[in-house]
Amino acid sequence: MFRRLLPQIHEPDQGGRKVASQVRGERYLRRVACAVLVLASFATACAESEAGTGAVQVSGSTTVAPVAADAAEALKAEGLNITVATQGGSAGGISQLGSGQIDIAMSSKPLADEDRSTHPDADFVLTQIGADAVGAIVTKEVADAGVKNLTAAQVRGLFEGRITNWSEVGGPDLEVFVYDKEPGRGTREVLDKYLYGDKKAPPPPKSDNFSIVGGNLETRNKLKSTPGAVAPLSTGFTEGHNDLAVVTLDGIAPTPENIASGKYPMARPLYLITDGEPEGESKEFIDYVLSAEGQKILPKHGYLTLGQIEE
Amino acid sequence: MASGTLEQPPKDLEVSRRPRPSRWVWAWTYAGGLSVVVVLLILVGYLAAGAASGEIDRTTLLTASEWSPAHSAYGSLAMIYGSAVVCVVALCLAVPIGWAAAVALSEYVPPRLARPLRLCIELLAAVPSIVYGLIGIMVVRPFVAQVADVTSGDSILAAGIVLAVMITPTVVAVSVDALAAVPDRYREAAFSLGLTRREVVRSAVLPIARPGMRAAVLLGLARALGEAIAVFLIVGRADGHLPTTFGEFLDSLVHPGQTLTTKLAGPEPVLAGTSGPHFAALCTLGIILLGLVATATVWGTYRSSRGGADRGSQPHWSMARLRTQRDRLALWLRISALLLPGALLVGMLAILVTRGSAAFDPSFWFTPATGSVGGGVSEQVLGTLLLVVTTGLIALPLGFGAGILIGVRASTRTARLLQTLTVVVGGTPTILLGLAGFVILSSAMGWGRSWLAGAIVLVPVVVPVIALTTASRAMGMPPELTESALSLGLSRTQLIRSVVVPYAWPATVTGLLLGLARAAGETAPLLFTATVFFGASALPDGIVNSPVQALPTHIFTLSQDSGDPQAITQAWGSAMVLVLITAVLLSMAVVLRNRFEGERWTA
Amino acid sequence: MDSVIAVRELRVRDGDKNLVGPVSFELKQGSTTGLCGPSGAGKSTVLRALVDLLPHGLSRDGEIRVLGRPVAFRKGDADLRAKIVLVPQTPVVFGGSVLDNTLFGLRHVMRAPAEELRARAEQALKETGLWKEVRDRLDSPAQTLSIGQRQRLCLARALALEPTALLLDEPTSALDEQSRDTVEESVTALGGSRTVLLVSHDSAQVERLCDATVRLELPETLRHLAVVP
Repeated sequence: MFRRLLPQIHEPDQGGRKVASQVRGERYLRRVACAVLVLASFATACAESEAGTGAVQVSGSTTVAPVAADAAEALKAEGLNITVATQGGSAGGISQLGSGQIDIAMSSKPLADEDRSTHPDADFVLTQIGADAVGAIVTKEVADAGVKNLTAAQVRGLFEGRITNWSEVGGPDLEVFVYDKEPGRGTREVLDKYLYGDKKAPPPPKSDNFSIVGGNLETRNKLKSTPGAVAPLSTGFTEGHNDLAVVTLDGIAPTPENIASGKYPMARPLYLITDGEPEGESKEFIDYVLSAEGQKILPKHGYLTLGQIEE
Repeated sequence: MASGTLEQPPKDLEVSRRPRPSRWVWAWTYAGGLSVVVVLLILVGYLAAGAASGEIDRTTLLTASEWSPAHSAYGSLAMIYGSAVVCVVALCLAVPIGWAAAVALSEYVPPRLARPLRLCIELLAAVPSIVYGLIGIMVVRPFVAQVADVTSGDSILAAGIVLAVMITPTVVAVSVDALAAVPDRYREAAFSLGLTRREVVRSAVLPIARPGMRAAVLLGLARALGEAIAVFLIVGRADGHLPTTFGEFLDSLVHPGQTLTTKLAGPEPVLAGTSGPHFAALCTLGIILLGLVATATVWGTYRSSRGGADRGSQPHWSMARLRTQRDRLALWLRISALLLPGALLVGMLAILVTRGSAAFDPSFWFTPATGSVGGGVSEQVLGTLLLVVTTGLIALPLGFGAGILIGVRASTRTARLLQTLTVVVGGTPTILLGLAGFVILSSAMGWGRSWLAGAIVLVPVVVPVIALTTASRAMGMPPELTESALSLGLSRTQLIRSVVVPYAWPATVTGLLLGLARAAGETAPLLFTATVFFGASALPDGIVNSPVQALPTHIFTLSQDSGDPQAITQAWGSAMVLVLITAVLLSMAVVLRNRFEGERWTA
Repeated sequence: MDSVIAVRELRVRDGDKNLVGPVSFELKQGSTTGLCGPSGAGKSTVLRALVDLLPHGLSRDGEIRVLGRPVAFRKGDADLRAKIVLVPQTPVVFGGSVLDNTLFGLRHVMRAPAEELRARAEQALKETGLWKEVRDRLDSPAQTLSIGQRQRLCLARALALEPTALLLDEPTSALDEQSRDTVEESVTALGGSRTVLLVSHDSAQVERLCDATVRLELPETLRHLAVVP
């Protein structure tokens, strides 16, 4: 009934509770308003009293995040309190580290000059924790028909939309569909560096068969569902997926040896970055990731350990 | 009893020591209205400051289609085109189907069946965007690729279809509310004139329900324009594709494109820094997007009100001899329109259940995560609940107040303006809310990552939904109710408190549900302000630097970059948990609402 | 007998168009006055003009005096409406119980202990002859009442306010004969104690119930619409 539903409006009128009920009605919203105000003032009060909760704050690349989270979990047992966030990717992490908001930045790319110039006060110290080989990945259909190797010029042609059919590079008569990574992704920077060196990459092609992808899982998913697709992707993500193939670049395969020796052109290091030499709990965390136990986490997420690339 | 006699001094007529003067009503409703305006001002202020922070050629921005920050080329025409086409496609599919399904639910299906169906459809509205996106990749892309004979299904059309699927539940839910508010005596009267069911619906029910159904479309449009994650995954995000001929236009539908929202939701706002031409260009995109939502709203409300008048003047009895056939046709069309969302729900649930089976293990709910991909999601569940409940508590009074304000001021220009502003806030891409929240709450106020910042950032997502559903219901209130109440001596404020508020309340509940369901699945604003992927304590013990973990951001991070197959299982499991939580919340509130509606006020 | 309501040269306009009037009349204390006239003459509109509930866009001029005092219907309009209560043609039942509905107006205009409110509700229901029918279900939803009962409930909740005058708009038009008779009985019972203005198209009814009649003619602007028998 009406008054059961909205007790603050229609109270049962026995027992002279009339006045009380109507006052209660008015109070209802006031109370909500007060609660909000109290919360807000409480919040500002807290702002002064307890800045920093003592947790080690790690943020940045989504590539490194799973590794960092696993390491943090292992250290939780030892009483270390670490939070891992992924805001803004590698670049975002570095920028937050530079402005002192976090303790450790995760990065899947080396420091750029801009990073240092925007944060002149920061003393970035990079600790490599592993590496990631980026492959030019094609579908099995294309690889089986003969595309086992691509030259830098061919890859450039593909990604600039000049090569539109696989038959132009010795493959089947199949349209090329390019999935490029969105800007800011470590994978994309590795590809750009391979294709253009220090020069700027050209604007994306006007081709209709060109689209942008984000995370590694999304990339893999779309590669698998598109015949004639090509995309840059961490090679670890193709393991166990027989419908995808890694092509050699200028004849060099992304083997650990080739990566360690620097012969394979599209590898990227994974870093944990601190402002100044790592100290205290940050050091404990980084040391753990570098330890034999910590290194075991990397292959689990599709990356290469330091050991693999230093052989 | 003494009656009012002439002995009574005239001043007695004025004496008013009324109980329940309810003066707070205006304070409350204006506070609600103000909250909408303030949010908009903050957003526009943030964007305008950003747009002024770098030198860009604004004419080129609006007329060129080339976008390449690395080469200082900033042209947004192709994105504006993409946004417009995606929305038009989505509305063209969702509105007829949604309206027809709503009519079927309200007018054709027996109530015993209609209630669970309606709950199911509201549940669809609660499925997090990212799930729609993933399903879009699995189903819609291949469909488009096959039908249009293109290599990849990444396309504007696919994005439009997925958006249509996403907004249909909103359109249905809000339209059903409007139809349910039409008193039965209108139907009775029309039936007794010998009208067929189709004619009853058309000439007796729809004219009254129209404002509410229009609000449904506005809400759908707002969501379509503001939606990022799902579109993001399938639109292709290729810049600079602008057709110049009709053939190219058709061609562009099935090929990758870019929308304003996906551009803003991409990594560029983070990469652009906080000033400079790139940032300025992005902020201008935000302003353009807000402008588009506003234009579409104004155009939509204006056109549909005029369209209604036109329709009324057309004689529609010309084909009187085919009445039964047409009635039957309408029946089948409407019922099959209802089957569509039904089939969708079944399909979606099937996918979720098979992929997210982890969620059916109770330990998954109640154990904390171990590392990145192991263990359960208890912390994420708690965090999500905390965020949703806090957001709901703040948003309910504000949205309700704003809705009542719009509803009772229906005739004035301010109400229409406020309604437009509300839709604009509702159509704001949440990434903008996240960025503004990050700048104001996390940085300027020094909260860092804080659960409260996250909840506050989600408030503007929920408030417009509550306000618009409430307002449409209040506007549709039968005038006899107002007249009866006023003639019993109620003041305006008392009328609002004792008649309008209880009358609009069921719609407010629907709005709250739809809004919270949307908020529960939001990722973008939380990533910046409130959540971490790992390491937050289950419940925060303060406000500053007290992040939480939440399910949507958990799903988002897991579905990004982990080579561990366990990550995908975990992501789907978390998605299923999120859907189940929303389902429980929804059913609880729906039970409440059905009880309110059971006492439909009649005249 | 003094006049409770005095109306002089009342007109209702839609912009420049004169919709109703001019009409002048007086309601004497304790009298029942009938207001009749052809369809479209604006009988209901006059009632609404008296309590300032004209539909949006219509305006009123002329003078209205209540208890000898001209009223402007500005700030105190709600208080005036609680004294001159309009009972609309369609019986509107609000959500809630029979008792809630009976006290709907009173609860908003008078501060009183619950016992007193209940007593007034009982009194009002008795005056309309509804008490016997609903005394056992005061707490059940008002929606369960029949249409005739609803009409009397609307009358009762107006009476509960102890108004100076009652404005009844076609109180029996939607009712069957039996319900009509009960409503008419209630109206007759009010005779002498209440001032009533009754709008009716039924001249026999006016004859039966009223001790004075006001005839409303179609205004000149609308006269061409009148159907001459």
